[in-house]
Amino acid sequence: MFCQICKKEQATVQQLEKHEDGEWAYCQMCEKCALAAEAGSSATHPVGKMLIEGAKKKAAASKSTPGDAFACPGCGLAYAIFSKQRRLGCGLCYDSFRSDVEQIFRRVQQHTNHRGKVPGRPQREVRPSAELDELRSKLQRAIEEERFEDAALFRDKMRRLTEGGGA
Amino acid sequence: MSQFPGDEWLRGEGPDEDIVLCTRVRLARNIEGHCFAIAQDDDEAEAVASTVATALHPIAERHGWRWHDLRDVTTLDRRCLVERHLISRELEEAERARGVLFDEHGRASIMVNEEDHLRIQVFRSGLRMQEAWEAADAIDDEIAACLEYAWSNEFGFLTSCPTNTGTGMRISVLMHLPALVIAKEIEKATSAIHEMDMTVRGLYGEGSQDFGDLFQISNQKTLGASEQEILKSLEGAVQSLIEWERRQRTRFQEAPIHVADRAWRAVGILERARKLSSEETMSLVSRIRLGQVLEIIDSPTLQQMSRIFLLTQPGHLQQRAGSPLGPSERDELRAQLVRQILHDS
Repeated sequence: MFCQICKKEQATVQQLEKHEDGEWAYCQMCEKCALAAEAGSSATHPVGKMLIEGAKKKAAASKSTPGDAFACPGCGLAYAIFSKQRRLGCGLCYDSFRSDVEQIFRRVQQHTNHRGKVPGRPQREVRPSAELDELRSKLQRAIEEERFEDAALFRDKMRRLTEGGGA
Repeated sequence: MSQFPGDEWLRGEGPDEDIVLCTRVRLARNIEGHCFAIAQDDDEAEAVASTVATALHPIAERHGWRWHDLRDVTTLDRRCLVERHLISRELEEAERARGVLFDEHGRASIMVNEEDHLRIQVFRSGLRMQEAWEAADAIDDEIAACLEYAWSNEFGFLTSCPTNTGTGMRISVLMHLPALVIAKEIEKATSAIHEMDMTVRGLYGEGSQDFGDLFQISNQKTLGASEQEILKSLEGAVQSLIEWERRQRTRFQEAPIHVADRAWRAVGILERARKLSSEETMSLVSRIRLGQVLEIIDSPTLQQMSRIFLLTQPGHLQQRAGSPLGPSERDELRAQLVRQILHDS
């Protein structure tokens, strides 16, 4: 299979990338293009430029995608860095960047729910989910509407619930 | 001389050992209340490393694991740990507080503060997925009893990269597939594996395909299936590859002169060469290994091949020399070491 970026060399690397249309997917690349994408180095390199500009364009246009300036209230990780590095900064990032995370799951995992083992700590109880689900929805709406102080309040409430009831 | 030339993954025994060198199960975990690697500052990294090392101390004592703070390990020794597969390149190159626990036979290692706070790795020689999974699962439960994992009912174990979320489990099987390479069927075989939602990479990760005819087959998905379901799917893919490789080897056994000639020429080069690159060495070792497992040649031994495999890697060579070496110097030392290993029996 040929590299999806340069279309000249054989693809030997599979990397999670956010495309111009804002969609996450695995991208098959040759080593040279993969290194360029990873370093992000190159705002001047065709790969880096395409990926970074595409992500910014989509984030600016989309109501459900946070802007680059948005940071997770849990750890301070900026959306722009998550989008470029494809790494989350804490457990709360899963909610802060929920729409992207779910999109990544649908594309590369083809599932969005865990069906495997539960951590073996006996004291841990399955937390009451209704209140947390409601708080999560409120957190998500607050993020979308850029009401970050409200988002921080909902985050703190979720943390207190989680610490109190185990997860 | 030790019975085994290196760690568990090179022991060369176990089910389907003629094709499968090693099975590895890796579990990715983060602890609640701390940032993941990308969001850590120095203080946070220190706190994570210290918290985990302290909490794991009694478990480490029970298992006979030793703790190594990687900031106290030399560059050369870190490289050797990568070559022994006890740590990853990411852990080697990171600059934050981090470390690793492992036992003297390399049957398990726990990386601390790599991409995730904990990376539990269990190795078993040959094809032993269920055994490796059960061992990793048991270690995971021991750790969960003293550290609270970052976890959600919805997404399971919360990892730094979304491609690990859920079970956090990656099973990898290291396979020697020289017959498929010689028969030019390896691309067809690896495409078939991709169709089963598994990944195929070379020994040293992406881009190192065909290095010594060694391939790592791993599950791609970690979310939406149980650990046993993932294990069974991978088992199916690996068994298909084993059958495919064996069928091709059977054809070679019908005309053994070709395999014998390739193997004996390889022995000749290894015994006489004065300079050997890594790539050439691994290619020659692969030819000899095929001849050995088909019982077409009986010397040198598989043990000698395993020692060559481990000890001629760049980090190990430089550790032996006691100092960094350039590529040309390494190639000379490699050839010298190979002649010495083949001479010792």
